[in-house]
Amino acid sequence: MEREFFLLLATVATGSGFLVVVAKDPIHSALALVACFVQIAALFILLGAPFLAVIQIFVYVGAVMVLFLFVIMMLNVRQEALTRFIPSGAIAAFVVTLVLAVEMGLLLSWSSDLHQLMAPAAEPPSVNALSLALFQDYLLPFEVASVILLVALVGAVILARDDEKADASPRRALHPAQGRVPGRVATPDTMPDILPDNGPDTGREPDNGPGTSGGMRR
Amino acid sequence: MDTDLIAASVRASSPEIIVIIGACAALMLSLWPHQDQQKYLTWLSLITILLASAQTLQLSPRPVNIVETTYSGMFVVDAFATYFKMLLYLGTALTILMSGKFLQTEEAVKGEYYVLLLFALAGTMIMVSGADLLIIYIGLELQALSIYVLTGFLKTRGRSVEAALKYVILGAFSSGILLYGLSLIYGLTGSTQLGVLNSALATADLSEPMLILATVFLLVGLLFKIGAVPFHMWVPDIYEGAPTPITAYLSVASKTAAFAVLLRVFMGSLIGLEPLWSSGLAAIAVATMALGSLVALVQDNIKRLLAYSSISHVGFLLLGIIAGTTSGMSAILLYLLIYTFMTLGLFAIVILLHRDVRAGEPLTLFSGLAQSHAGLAFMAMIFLFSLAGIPPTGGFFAKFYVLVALIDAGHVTLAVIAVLLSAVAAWFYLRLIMLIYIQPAEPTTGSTAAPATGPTGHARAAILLSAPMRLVLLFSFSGTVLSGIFPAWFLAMARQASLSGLGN
Repeated sequence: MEREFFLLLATVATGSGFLVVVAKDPIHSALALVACFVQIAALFILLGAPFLAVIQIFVYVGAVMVLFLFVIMMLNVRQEALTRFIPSGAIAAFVVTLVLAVEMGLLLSWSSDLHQLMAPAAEPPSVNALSLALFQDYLLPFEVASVILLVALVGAVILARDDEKADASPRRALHPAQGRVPGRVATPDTMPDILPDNGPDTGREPDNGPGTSGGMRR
Repeated sequence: MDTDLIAASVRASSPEIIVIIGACAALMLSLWPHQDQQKYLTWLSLITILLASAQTLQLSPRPVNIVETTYSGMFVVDAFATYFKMLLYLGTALTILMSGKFLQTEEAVKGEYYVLLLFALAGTMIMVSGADLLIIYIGLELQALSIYVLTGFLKTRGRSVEAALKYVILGAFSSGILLYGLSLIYGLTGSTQLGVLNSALATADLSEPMLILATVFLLVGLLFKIGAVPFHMWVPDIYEGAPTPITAYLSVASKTAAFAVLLRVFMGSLIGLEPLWSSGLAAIAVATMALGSLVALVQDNIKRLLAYSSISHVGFLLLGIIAGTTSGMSAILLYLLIYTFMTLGLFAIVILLHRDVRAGEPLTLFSGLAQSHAGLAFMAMIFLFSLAGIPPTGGFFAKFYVLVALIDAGHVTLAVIAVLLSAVAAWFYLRLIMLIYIQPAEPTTGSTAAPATGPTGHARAAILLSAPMRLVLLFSFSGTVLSGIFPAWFLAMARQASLSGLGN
């Protein structure tokens, strides 16, 4: 019975994960990601870790994804995301990916260890045991992860902050087009605090010389 | 974990703690509006690094073969980690020194720059000291996250933002691959601790397909981080777009830390799986050297040229892993030290010649340097000779010891290929020297330079050597020259670090 449930949940999780990538509308992607997270929470229950399942629902589905949806709706990136930017070489990439996937599948299915991996947990670990593991054996990763969060916070502020100094610089006055590409951002004037003037989506400067077109260059 | 254990763990990781506290202090200092803020931040960062290095030296194991493991076997202090940490301090400190002028030219003086560099340093230190795949991964992410932001630090420059975006996406992709391999290893052995892995894999069945898959994924994930050939395509774009001091940091400190991980994991824990990875790694090393050297020949941007040059150096370093012996490892350690000196030195000169991001860094920046600045031109020549591996400089001995280790281990064919390819690589370094000494300093940059940006239009006559820049050049120049004159002394240092084993 456990096996059947695992297959069901894993199939839905993989399917919705796939949907995250192929869905055209970012809202659909986000909702598919929610579905994926719920399936993973169910998998945690199947593995005998109810606490992790609850955390998964609370943190990922409840907090992170709601924030995602909020940002998508707020910034109105839906229009932009509708244009595809996968280049024409995608077919070659798809073929290579397919070959690698088949190779991986074959290697996995030949393995004799594969079926021994899913040993059911003897008894569901308590929250107590979890906290002991977190603060004794895994104290260092726990602390370093908090530093990573600090770096992410600082980095986000740096990248999103509006720079008055850069705005006032004479170079910008010389190149008015480099700041804002009209039409790319739907409503730039209504939310000046949220949209950085030179965010990553404003395209590149018009005159930065040869050899700076997009894509990987050699 | 009782109090004694906690105290021992805190003591062992005190250099990391010092660096993180220093970064937090710099973060607060950067909020204080002051005219000399940048100067204070530079001093604070340098003092932090100095304190951390003093603490690292004080903790360094005596005798060298003692290995201290703390944090439930996750964190290790041994001679290997100490050597690499000193190397990282050197790289980061020189990067900080050469950043001041660049940030002023680019009008991007912000305190967070130093904060993020210090956090990146902490991340690399944790990578180097990690004795568990999990903590190695977390250190890697700490380092990578800081560098993503630093790559896109020039927010108003399209190239910088483009490079940052590419780096984030490819970095996340390679981290995914690395994590997948890591989870497979955990599934197969039931542990992520390197010491446990070593004993668990010693008796493993090498024809087990899952083991092959896990090894391949782990190797590919790490090769992505050092930019070896099938996984190198991000290197030139990101090196070109990033602020030049960050490019220098990327090509030196990031690479050094990733090599430390590669050595610790593959020459320590996965040595039992050597038949699985050694032939593949040999092919990758040769391809890396070949592509790096050949494609560098046609570059016309100095930063892209240095990116390909660093790719070909990575290929050479991988040969030391293939040799697989202690002498191979000490050759890599020595190589990384000399590579730090000569690359940072050359990058300092690139920064001095730099005018404007929009003008780019065409090779013609160097033309006629000898006429206007004989001293700088001479230093550039020495750095380039060293990078090419021409005898009186350190770069020659770096390559020489790798080759000796390779031949001792019986890989004569590989050694011959390496010599031939480094002859190819020498050509483009020599081309730069030719530009410096033979080409007249005519303003040939008209097509790519910014249209008449005023007084900086042709700034050749006015290269201001500030005190920090002098210090960087002094350090890197003397390092490059001294390692060429007294290679044995430097080699002894590297050998001592590699003899201590890998903390298993």
